[in-house]
Amino acid sequence: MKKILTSTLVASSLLLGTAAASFAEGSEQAADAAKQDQIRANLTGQGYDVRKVDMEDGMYEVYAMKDGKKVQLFLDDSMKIVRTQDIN
Amino acid sequence: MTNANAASEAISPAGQTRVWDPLIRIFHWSLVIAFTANALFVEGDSKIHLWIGYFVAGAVAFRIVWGFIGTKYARFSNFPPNLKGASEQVMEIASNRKRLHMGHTPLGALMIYNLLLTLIVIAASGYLMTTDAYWGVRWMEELHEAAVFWAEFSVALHIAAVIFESLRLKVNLPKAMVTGVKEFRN
Ligand code: HEM
Ligand code: HEM
Repeated sequence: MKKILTSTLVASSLLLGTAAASFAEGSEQAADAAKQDQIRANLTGQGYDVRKVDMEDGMYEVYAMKDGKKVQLFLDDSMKIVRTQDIN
Repeated sequence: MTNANAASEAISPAGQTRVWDPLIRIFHWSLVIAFTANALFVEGDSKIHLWIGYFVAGAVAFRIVWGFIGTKYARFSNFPPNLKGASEQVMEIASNRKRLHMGHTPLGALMIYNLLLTLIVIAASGYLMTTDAYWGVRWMEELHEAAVFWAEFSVALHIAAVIFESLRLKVNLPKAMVTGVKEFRN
């Protein structure tokens, strides 16, 4: 019985480790507050309803609505929009 | 070995009973593949993630219907949520007694309800993130991810429990979920 318990525990901690590691590796993070405010103000002025500003792969990733449509915007360090993607 | 529960059931002389019908088995293993794919490999913001997610939602919907109209051991009435039964099972393990179950055990049943409910929360929050109302709304994403984490934790426990019970009761439970037949060895 001891042996069964031990091997089961070892197996499950390995599994949990995998799950935890996969969670930690997520590349998306909230952008820092000052930048967020700046991006929000800027885009709101251009008619976007900004929902969320994240950092992904060194770029700002913005989730917004414009003219009733969902859009994702990618901005570089200098706040320039490098890519816009409509989400149907 | 005490065998109170099994005694009343039809076991062939070889100790084999057909318990899981083909739909349950297909449900289980396709769920394993789909869940693993979405939880560990496919990016959340890709189209395939959504399709795999909808597949999971459909599979869970099927399972719920099958829980009412399916074959004997597939029905919820065969493994109702039963806290008393679950604590008896814990006592049984602690005191080194064995009691065989044809279908799901009381602890197994609790895990199944937990997994099905968690998958519903995952699918619902995932879908809502794609709607205009919840597009880019952070708490919905956090709910989705928290539910996924809970599901991963539960799955780890589920697998550990399946291994543990298989060794303790000398019944290969994963094999039964593949072939549909539980083989009881003495
Ligand atoms: C088995 C079911 C599911 C699992 C295990 C799962 C898992 C995950 C995980 C781990 C994330 C965060 C990591 C990442 O962004 O890559 C995520 C994000 C996401 N999931 Fe799911 N998901 C499931 C079902 C669904 C469903 C049914 C939908 C929608 C119909 C959905 C839509 C999304 C969306 C929109 C995101 C956020 C993507 C982003 O903006 O970054 N998921 N999911
Ligand atoms: C390799 C990994 C896995 C193995 C070996 C495994 C094995 C099993 C076994 C043996 C049973 C039957 C338990 C019994 O005899 O009472 C079962 C049931 C179940 N498992 Fe898994 N499982 C795995 C992964 C998963 C995953 C990833 C999920 C879901 C996210 C899952 C969800 C379920 C559900 C819902 C049931 C209940 C089956 C039904 O009656 O519909 N399993 N599993």
